[in-house]
Amino acid sequence: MVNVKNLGLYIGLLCIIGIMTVFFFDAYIGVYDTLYVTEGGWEREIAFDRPYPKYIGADYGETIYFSYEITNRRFKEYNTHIEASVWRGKEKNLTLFSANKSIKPFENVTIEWVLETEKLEPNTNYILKIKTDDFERIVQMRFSQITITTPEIIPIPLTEPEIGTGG
Amino acid sequence: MEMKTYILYAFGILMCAAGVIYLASEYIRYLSDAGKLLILILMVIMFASFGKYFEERGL
Repeated sequence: MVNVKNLGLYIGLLCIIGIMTVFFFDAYIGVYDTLYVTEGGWEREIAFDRPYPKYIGADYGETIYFSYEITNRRFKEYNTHIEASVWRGKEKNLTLFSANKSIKPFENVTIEWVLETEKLEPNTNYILKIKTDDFERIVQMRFSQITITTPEIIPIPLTEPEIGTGG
Repeated sequence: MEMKTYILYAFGILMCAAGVIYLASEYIRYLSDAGKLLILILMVIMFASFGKYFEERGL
Protein backbone atom coordinates (compact mmCIF):
# COMPACT_ATOMS: atom_id res chain seq x y z
CA MET A 1 0.00 0.00 0.00
CA VAL A 2 1.28 3.43 -0.90
CA ASN A 3 2.12 5.43 2.19
CA VAL A 4 1.07 8.99 1.51
CA LYS A 5 2.13 11.55 4.04
CA ASN A 6 -0.79 13.42 5.60
CA LEU A 7 -3.33 11.13 3.87
CA GLY A 8 -5.92 11.72 6.61
CA LEU A 9 -5.68 15.47 6.11
CA TYR A 10 -6.18 15.20 2.35
CA ILE A 11 -9.15 12.85 2.67
CA GLY A 12 -10.70 15.18 5.25
CA LEU A 13 -10.26 18.19 2.96
CA LEU A 14 -11.72 16.23 0.03
CA CYS A 15 -14.74 15.41 2.19
CA ILE A 16 -15.27 19.13 2.92
CA ILE A 17 -15.18 19.85 -0.82
CA GLY A 18 -17.56 16.92 -1.34
CA ILE A 19 -20.03 18.28 1.25
CA MET A 20 -20.02 21.70 -0.41
CA THR A 21 -20.53 20.09 -3.84
CA VAL A 22 -23.53 18.12 -2.50
CA PHE A 23 -25.09 21.36 -1.22
CA PHE A 24 -24.67 23.14 -4.58
CA PHE A 25 -25.78 20.14 -6.64
CA ASP A 26 -28.80 19.45 -4.45
CA ALA A 27 -29.90 23.08 -4.66
CA TYR A 28 -29.65 23.03 -8.46
CA ILE A 29 -31.37 19.70 -9.10
CA GLY A 30 -35.16 19.57 -8.89
CA VAL A 31 -38.35 20.92 -10.37
CA TYR A 32 -38.67 24.71 -10.10
CA ASP A 33 -41.59 26.94 -10.98
CA THR A 34 -42.10 30.68 -11.37
CA LEU A 35 -45.26 32.63 -12.00
CA TYR A 36 -45.19 35.85 -14.03
CA VAL A 37 -48.17 38.14 -13.58
CA THR A 38 -48.88 41.01 -15.96
CA GLU A 39 -51.50 43.51 -14.88
CA GLY A 40 -51.81 47.14 -15.84
CA GLY A 41 -48.89 46.79 -18.24
CA TRP A 42 -46.46 45.69 -15.52
CA GLU A 43 -44.93 42.25 -15.27
CA ARG A 44 -44.16 40.86 -11.84
CA GLU A 45 -42.34 37.69 -10.89
CA ILE A 46 -43.61 35.42 -8.13
CA ALA A 47 -40.98 32.86 -7.16
CA PHE A 48 -42.30 30.18 -4.87
CA ASP A 49 -38.99 29.31 -3.21
CA ARG A 50 -38.73 32.70 -1.51
CA PRO A 51 -40.30 33.34 1.87
CA TYR A 52 -42.32 36.48 1.13
CA PRO A 53 -46.15 36.42 0.86
CA LYS A 54 -47.60 35.73 -2.56
CA TYR A 55 -50.23 38.33 -3.41
CA ILE A 56 -51.90 39.78 -6.49
CA GLY A 57 -53.83 42.99 -6.15
CA ALA A 58 -55.49 44.63 -9.14
CA ASP A 59 -58.31 46.94 -10.04
CA TYR A 60 -61.62 45.24 -10.68
CA GLY A 61 -62.38 44.96 -14.38
CA GLU A 62 -58.72 44.57 -15.39
CA THR A 63 -57.48 41.58 -17.33
CA ILE A 64 -54.59 39.72 -15.72
CA TYR A 65 -52.19 37.71 -17.87
CA PHE A 66 -50.41 34.79 -16.23
CA SER A 67 -47.34 33.01 -17.48
CA TYR A 68 -46.30 29.95 -15.47
CA GLU A 69 -42.87 28.46 -16.10
CA ILE A 70 -41.84 25.03 -14.90
CA THR A 71 -38.20 24.00 -15.20
CA ASN A 72 -37.25 20.37 -14.93
CA ARG A 73 -33.65 20.18 -13.69
CA ARG A 74 -33.66 16.43 -13.26
CA PHE A 75 -32.25 13.55 -15.24
CA LYS A 76 -35.65 12.04 -16.02
CA GLU A 77 -38.74 13.34 -17.79
CA TYR A 78 -41.31 15.06 -15.59
CA ASN A 79 -44.94 14.17 -16.34
CA THR A 80 -47.65 15.95 -14.42
CA HIS A 81 -51.16 17.27 -14.53
CA ILE A 82 -51.26 21.04 -14.04
CA GLU A 83 -54.38 22.85 -12.95
CA ALA A 84 -54.78 26.54 -12.21
CA SER A 85 -58.02 27.54 -10.54
CA VAL A 86 -59.57 30.39 -8.59
CA TRP A 87 -61.06 29.64 -5.20
CA ARG A 88 -63.13 31.63 -2.77
CA GLY A 89 -62.67 29.95 0.57
CA LYS A 90 -63.41 26.27 -0.05
CA GLU A 91 -65.52 26.93 -3.13
CA LYS A 92 -63.99 26.62 -6.58
CA ASN A 93 -65.04 29.53 -8.80
CA LEU A 94 -63.06 29.22 -12.01
CA THR A 95 -60.74 26.81 -13.74
CA LEU A 96 -58.18 28.81 -15.66
CA PHE A 97 -56.03 26.01 -17.00
CA SER A 98 -56.03 22.24 -16.84
CA ALA A 99 -53.85 19.90 -18.89
CA ASN A 100 -51.21 17.19 -18.74
CA LYS A 101 -47.68 18.29 -19.43
CA SER A 102 -44.48 16.44 -20.09
CA ILE A 103 -41.16 18.22 -19.55
CA LYS A 104 -37.93 16.73 -20.81
CA PRO A 105 -34.79 16.73 -18.60
CA PHE A 106 -33.20 20.17 -18.18
CA GLU A 107 -35.92 21.84 -20.22
CA ASN A 108 -38.75 24.15 -19.31
CA VAL A 109 -42.37 24.64 -20.26
CA THR A 110 -44.35 27.89 -20.14
CA ILE A 111 -48.10 27.85 -19.73
CA GLU A 112 -50.20 30.95 -20.24
CA TRP A 113 -53.69 31.82 -19.17
CA VAL A 114 -55.83 34.92 -18.73
CA LEU A 115 -58.06 35.97 -15.87
CA GLU A 116 -60.90 38.37 -16.54
CA THR A 117 -61.54 39.88 -13.15
CA GLU A 118 -65.07 40.83 -14.20
CA LYS A 119 -65.99 37.17 -13.87
CA LEU A 120 -65.33 37.46 -10.13
CA GLU A 121 -66.66 39.74 -7.46
CA PRO A 122 -64.95 42.95 -6.41
CA ASN A 123 -63.43 43.55 -2.96
CA THR A 124 -63.42 39.82 -2.18
CA ASN A 125 -60.52 37.64 -1.18
CA TYR A 126 -59.71 34.92 -3.69
CA ILE A 127 -57.03 32.26 -3.91
CA LEU A 128 -55.23 31.23 -7.06
CA LYS A 129 -54.28 27.56 -6.74
CA ILE A 130 -51.74 26.01 -9.07
CA LYS A 131 -51.72 22.29 -8.53
CA THR A 132 -49.39 19.67 -9.95
CA ASP A 133 -49.03 16.00 -9.01
CA ASP A 134 -46.26 16.86 -6.53
CA PHE A 135 -46.96 20.32 -5.14
CA GLU A 136 -49.58 23.02 -4.77
CA ARG A 137 -48.96 26.76 -5.00
CA ILE A 138 -51.24 29.33 -3.43
CA VAL A 139 -51.43 33.02 -4.33
CA GLN A 140 -53.78 35.43 -2.57
CA MET A 141 -55.82 37.71 -4.85
CA ARG A 142 -58.05 40.69 -4.36
CA PHE A 143 -59.61 43.01 -6.93
CA SER A 144 -60.55 46.36 -5.57
CA GLN A 145 -63.35 48.51 -6.88
CA ILE A 146 -63.58 51.98 -5.47
CA THR A 147 -67.10 53.35 -5.54
CA ILE A 148 -67.34 57.11 -5.18
CA THR A 149 -70.70 58.26 -3.93
CA THR A 150 -71.47 61.92 -4.21
CA PRO A 151 -73.17 63.26 -1.13
CA GLU A 152 -76.73 64.51 -1.52
CA ILE A 153 -76.79 68.27 -1.72
CA ILE A 154 -79.31 69.79 0.64
CA PRO A 155 -80.19 73.33 -0.39
CA ILE A 156 -79.81 75.82 2.40
CA PRO A 157 -82.95 77.96 2.69
CA LEU A 158 -82.01 81.53 2.06
CA THR A 159 -83.63 84.07 4.27
CA GLU A 160 -83.59 87.67 3.27
CA PRO A 161 -81.86 89.86 5.82
CA GLU A 162 -84.17 92.15 7.64
CA ILE A 163 -83.26 95.75 6.97
CA GLY A 164 -83.57 98.48 9.50
CA THR A 165 -84.25 96.36 12.47
CA GLY A 166 -80.76 96.42 13.83
CA GLY A 167 -79.91 98.41 16.87
CA MET B 1 -4.43 32.27 32.84
CA GLU B 2 -7.19 33.56 34.99
CA MET B 3 -10.41 31.67 35.59
CA LYS B 4 -12.36 34.55 34.01
CA THR B 5 -10.49 34.09 30.70
CA TYR B 6 -11.33 30.37 30.61
CA ILE B 7 -14.99 31.16 31.20
CA LEU B 8 -14.93 33.66 28.33
CA TYR B 9 -13.24 31.09 26.04
CA ALA B 10 -15.83 28.47 26.96
CA PHE B 11 -18.64 30.94 26.32
CA GLY B 12 -17.18 31.89 22.92
CA ILE B 13 -16.72 28.25 21.87
CA LEU B 14 -20.28 27.46 22.98
CA MET B 15 -21.68 30.38 20.96
CA CYS B 16 -19.69 29.33 17.87
CA ALA B 17 -20.94 25.75 18.16
CA ALA B 18 -24.52 26.95 18.62
CA GLY B 19 -24.24 29.20 15.56
CA VAL B 20 -22.76 26.46 13.38
CA ILE B 21 -25.45 23.97 14.51
CA TYR B 22 -28.22 26.51 13.83
CA LEU B 23 -26.93 27.35 10.33
CA ALA B 24 -26.37 23.68 9.50
CA SER B 25 -29.95 22.82 10.53
CA GLU B 26 -31.27 25.69 8.36
CA TYR B 27 -29.34 24.45 5.31
CA ILE B 28 -30.12 20.78 5.91
CA ARG B 29 -33.87 21.52 5.87
CA TYR B 30 -33.83 22.13 2.10
CA LEU B 31 -31.71 19.11 1.19
CA SER B 32 -33.13 15.97 -0.37
CA ASP B 33 -32.96 12.67 1.54
CA ALA B 34 -30.22 11.37 -0.73
CA GLY B 35 -28.21 14.56 -0.16
CA LYS B 36 -28.59 14.27 3.61
CA LEU B 37 -27.37 10.68 3.55
CA LEU B 38 -24.41 11.53 1.33
CA ILE B 39 -23.41 14.42 3.60
CA LEU B 40 -23.68 12.21 6.67
CA ILE B 41 -21.36 9.64 5.07
CA LEU B 42 -18.89 12.34 4.00
CA MET B 43 -18.90 13.84 7.49
CA VAL B 44 -18.19 10.47 9.09
CA ILE B 45 -15.25 9.94 6.70
CA MET B 46 -14.05 13.51 7.31
CA PHE B 47 -14.04 13.21 11.09
CA ALA B 48 -12.39 9.77 10.91
CA SER B 49 -9.68 11.10 8.56
CA PHE B 50 -8.99 14.21 10.62
CA GLY B 51 -8.96 12.07 13.78
CA LYS B 52 -6.41 9.72 12.21
CA TYR B 53 -4.29 12.64 11.00
CA PHE B 54 -4.16 14.32 14.41
CA GLU B 55 -3.53 10.97 16.09
CA GLU B 56 -0.53 10.40 13.81
CA ARG B 57 0.79 13.86 14.60
CA GLY B 58 0.42 13.12 18.30
CA LEU B 59 -1.93 15.99 19.03
